[in-house]
Amino acid sequence: MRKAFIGNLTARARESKEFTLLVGDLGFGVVEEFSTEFPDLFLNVGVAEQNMTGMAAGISESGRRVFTYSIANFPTMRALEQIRNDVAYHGFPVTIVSVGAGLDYGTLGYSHFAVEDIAVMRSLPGMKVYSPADERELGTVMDEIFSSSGPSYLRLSKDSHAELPSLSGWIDASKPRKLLAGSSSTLILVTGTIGANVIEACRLISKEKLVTFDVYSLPQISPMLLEGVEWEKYNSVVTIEEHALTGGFGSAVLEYLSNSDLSLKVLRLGIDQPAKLPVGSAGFLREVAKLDPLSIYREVLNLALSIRED
Amino acid sequence: MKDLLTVARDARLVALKMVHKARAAHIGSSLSVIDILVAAYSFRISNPGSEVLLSKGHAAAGLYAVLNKFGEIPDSWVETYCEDGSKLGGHATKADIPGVVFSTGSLGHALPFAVGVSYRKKLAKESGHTIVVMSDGECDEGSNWEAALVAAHLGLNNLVAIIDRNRLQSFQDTEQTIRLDPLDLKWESFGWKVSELNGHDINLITETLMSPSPEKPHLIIANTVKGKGVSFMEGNNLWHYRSPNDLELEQAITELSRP
Repeated sequence: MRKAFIGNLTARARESKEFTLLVGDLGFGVVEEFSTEFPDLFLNVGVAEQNMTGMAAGISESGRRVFTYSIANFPTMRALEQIRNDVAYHGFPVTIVSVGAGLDYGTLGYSHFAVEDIAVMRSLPGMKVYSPADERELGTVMDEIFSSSGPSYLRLSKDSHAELPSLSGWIDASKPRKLLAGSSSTLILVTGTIGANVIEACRLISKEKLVTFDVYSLPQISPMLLEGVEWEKYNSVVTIEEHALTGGFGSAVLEYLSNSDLSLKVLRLGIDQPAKLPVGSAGFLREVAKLDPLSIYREVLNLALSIRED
Repeated sequence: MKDLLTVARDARLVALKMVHKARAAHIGSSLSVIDILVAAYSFRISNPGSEVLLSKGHAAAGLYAVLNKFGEIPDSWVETYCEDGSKLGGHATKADIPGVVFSTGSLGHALPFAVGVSYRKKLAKESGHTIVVMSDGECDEGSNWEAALVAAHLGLNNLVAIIDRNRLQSFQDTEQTIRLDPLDLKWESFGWKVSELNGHDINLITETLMSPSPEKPHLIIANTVKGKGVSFMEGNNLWHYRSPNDLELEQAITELSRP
């Protein structure tokens, strides 16, 4: 999705939108379309993420939106105190962009698995956390970012992903996007490109077991706004994320539920021990982490059937 | 406004009283930086578009005292330093404090921020300098060196860093902690114009601020004494953490009030 992101920036720059893109010496072959046409809106600040983030805060003090851009954990973990103190605390309009959400850089090993970022970033004050599942969600997220004035974190997949199915009527990044409709009393919530695996799993369950689900994709994890979800229909919810189980999307849903009057059984699917994963392609690692369609199929079916029996 | 030397003297008195009342730390660090801050804020007045950032945020008492004497912060706020719910805490925090544009408290943050400000202003052809006041111990932090490299690479001649070189940090002398010298050569090799001067000579600091390089960021090494102005505090690292008791405050006031 990095190409779509740069394409989005380029289009806005052509409409004379004022903003700045800072990169930490990454984006080769991706950012040139933007940087050559708009050199005044772009700066490669080198392999120095703490300075990049501090600079972003300084540039944005004037009210200008600034993007910091790198891969995996570099724009986040490496500069976390700067994000916390200089950006989030001040409420500056800085968007931290990480390319390679989850296990996208799987062959490069743990240093490049972005699997704790949601947990960390959503704990920062006023930080909006976005995790688009496809380019359509990315488009609406970018609209949100450009019409807001505070800090945000944008978690992007490396490659382009086919558009997920959508039931009509949804155009707002801050609202849950209904992907599938069904009759099960188990609700499914997913964030990010792993949504494609969830769709495949649900189609399989529908075909083989004739059980159908309401599935929502959430491009915005924080603040978590679940307008439109008809909670009275459900007795359970499954959350799926390409992220560690601790503190991520599923935990955010747990927090949401505990702050409400709702009482549902929650099953969280995610990566159990990311540091123990081997190297490999994202597809392979998703299988190891039991986030492939078949594993999701088993887990969701188990839950739906066990609840039915209660 | 009074002459700058008197302003600095008065600011020292305010800082001492603040720290005494609040039983707060960092009086030594505040006293060493006051003359630098007086020069910097005076420059800010005569050079519109300029800003002063206190990167060594723990010298907040010194900063607030100077801002109080420049008429930016009222006496009533000063009275509440470090009290429950006060606008004025132990580190300069964003709370709409006039004269403070950036909250600090963790070292190594203001210089990168200032690089961003200076870069944007230079592109937009806006006037004014951004002055970052740092401590020497703070130069241990790597983020400063990232910023130093980038500032020089971008030729940010509208950026000034002033190091309060009092040669002491938490435990002991900076040179015994992590050797910084030759500090001037380090910054020079990074591509900065380096000036070195007596950090208690307000007029000289002001003059030096007026002579930036045409193409490089400017580093001013201001040689100072921690605890400057109070004889029993000068060069004594006990005063990094300790606050003066009633008797010590009285002695300090007597010394500073001598004509």
